[in-house]
Amino acid sequence: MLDALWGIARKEFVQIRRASFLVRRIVLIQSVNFIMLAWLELTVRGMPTVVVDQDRSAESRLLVERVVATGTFAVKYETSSVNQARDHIRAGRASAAVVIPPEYAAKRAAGTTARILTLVDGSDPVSSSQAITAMNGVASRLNLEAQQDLVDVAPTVTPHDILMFNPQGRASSFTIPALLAILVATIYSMNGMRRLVQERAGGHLDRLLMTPVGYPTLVAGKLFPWLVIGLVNSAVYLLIARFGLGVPIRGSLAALFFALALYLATVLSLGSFIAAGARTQEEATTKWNIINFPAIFLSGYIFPLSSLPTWLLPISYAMPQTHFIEVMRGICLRGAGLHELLPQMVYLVVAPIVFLVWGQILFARSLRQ
Amino acid sequence: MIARFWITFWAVFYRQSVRLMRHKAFFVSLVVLQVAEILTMGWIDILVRDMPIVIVDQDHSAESREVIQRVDATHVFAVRYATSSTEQARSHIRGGRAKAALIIPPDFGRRRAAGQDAQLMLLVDGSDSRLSSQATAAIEGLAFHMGVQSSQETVASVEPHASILFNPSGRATLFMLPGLLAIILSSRFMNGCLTIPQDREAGSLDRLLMTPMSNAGLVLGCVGPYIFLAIANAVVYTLIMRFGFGVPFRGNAPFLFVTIVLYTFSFLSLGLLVAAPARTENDALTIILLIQLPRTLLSGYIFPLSSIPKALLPVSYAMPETHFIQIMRGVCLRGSTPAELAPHVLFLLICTPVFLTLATWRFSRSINR
Repeated sequence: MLDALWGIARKEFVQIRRASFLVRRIVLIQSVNFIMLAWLELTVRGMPTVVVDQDRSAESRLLVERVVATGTFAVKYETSSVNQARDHIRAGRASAAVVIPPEYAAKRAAGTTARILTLVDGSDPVSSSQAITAMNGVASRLNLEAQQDLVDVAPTVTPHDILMFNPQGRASSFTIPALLAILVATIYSMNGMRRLVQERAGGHLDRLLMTPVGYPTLVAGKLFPWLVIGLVNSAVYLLIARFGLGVPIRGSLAALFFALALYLATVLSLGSFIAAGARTQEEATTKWNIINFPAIFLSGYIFPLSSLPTWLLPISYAMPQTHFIEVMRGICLRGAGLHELLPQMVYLVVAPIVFLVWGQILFARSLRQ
Repeated sequence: MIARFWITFWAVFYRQSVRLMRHKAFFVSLVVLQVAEILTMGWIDILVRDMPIVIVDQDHSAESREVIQRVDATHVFAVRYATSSTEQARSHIRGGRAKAALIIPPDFGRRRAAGQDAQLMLLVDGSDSRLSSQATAAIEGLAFHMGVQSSQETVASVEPHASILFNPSGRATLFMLPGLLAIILSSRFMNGCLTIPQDREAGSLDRLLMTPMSNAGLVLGCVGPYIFLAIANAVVYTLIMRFGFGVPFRGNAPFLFVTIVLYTFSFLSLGLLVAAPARTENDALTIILLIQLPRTLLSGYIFPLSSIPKALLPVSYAMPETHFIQIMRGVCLRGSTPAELAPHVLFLLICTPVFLTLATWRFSRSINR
């Protein structure tokens, strides 16, 4: 049993070395992907904005300065007509317009309520909600200052906010651990799948089945080398994330690698599960695409799980990515221990077993057909 | 020369169509995948709702209960746990069971009743900066309201008034679906570019080399049938989007059709550029799959272009997807005119011949090796 396992693992290592050109290319492209995509965050900066200043007062100029100071907006155009501002937005040259009505300064001076109007291109809700939050912030700040100027100090409620774990609010610290989970799943589920399908398409599988090697030994032997490569590869990503991109790793490194090994086993066995029922490379790839593509959206990498509709959550929780992203964020950002991440760890232990057993059933069925 | 091109083109085109018709699984996967993707993407919402929060009420007064009620009423938070120890609240957050904790100190009610400044403390899991900024904004808004209500003076306030154009309800569907077409088309039909490596592996490419074929005709003929399929698919998709999901269609339909055709040519020629020199189908497929992730994430499909770092923008703008997504959103949601979208159309027009020339050149080089 162990001999057979080692034999197959050795053969796999030799084949990987022979195909080293492709393996190197996969690692290279994926590393470029990692470094490039690590910079992505959903915080909108410098949204092209039209200023429609119909007041032309010191007050209105102060307002425009405040708007620019938020960093969310960058003034691209200035005009005096609201219609022209709308044209800019429709053409996609600007995403927002700030309209300051003629009597703005007069109303402020008279102590009555002044209005400012923001036109936002709502076709992109990510940008538009951030634009509105920023504008509300500008207005609140002005209001607060006006309130403080009153001699008769009103009793206020002061909120103190404490941001734990990621005080600068850097989105990259949040997305990078998740990106790592997504990339590792992509590479290794694909490799696990491809290697098994290749074996079958080449007819070697039939020959192997005549030997005393069973399906579990075959799969375990073929996947083991990829587990080793995957651990080394992830270690490189972690080094880049830690020292190149400044992502903290607050928890225990041993726990992180233990979870990583389980995760690699999970995605590799997922790949073998996809391969088990497929006869051709194309069939397997299509299935792989169905399973892998939605993970970007449903795993909590980009959209927080709390923003997903409830009926999609079962799909989210069926994906290994969702659980490992939780583990990565827990260990790296919150310094959580494995006992605090128990449900996720249970999934990562159970899932590979389920995928392998289910894969064996599918495989046995496909042989009989 | 030109005659040779057309003869080769039609011959290869015919062979490819016959092959494609035989391939039933491709059509089945096309339909199944698309329905699944449209349903998933059509339902994702980006706004945060019901963030689990721990309440640490150390006051137990009428005032503190009022605060709790107000917090629950914001919809941003859902009160999940109540405890009296700050430590326990922290552990809830570290374990990921809650995203925030609101601490109401013991003297809150007394100070409010006495007309003094009262304090609230919010602990937020800052690992996701989007969640934390929405949480702090919600609490600050709540505190501001309570402060204003208790002050008898009228304050000269600035009232921000936002008007969201084109997508007033902020439905993410309207934003996601037009972009999804670009991703679906290119990820599904780029497989058409695998024909050349397939032929090379089967040895039929060597046989073709004995004929007086033209390289450009061969390269184009291979993807020919896919062009028609992709265009038909895009038209059906647009109809489903319009009538099934109620995505508005405010622009010019013939113009959109022309851009769909241009886009189809451009991504297929990009696929050819990648796949033409590959030695095996497997190599080509791997590389196509690996570049799918950056194409999805950098094209402005999920991350708004204004949130993409400046250094990566050239990459974004070099991809046909980015331009096609801008056109789709412009035409569907904003009702942009063709003239307003001219730069994007121009890119699609120019990139196809550039990619194709490079692809033919790389292909010619690869057969001479």
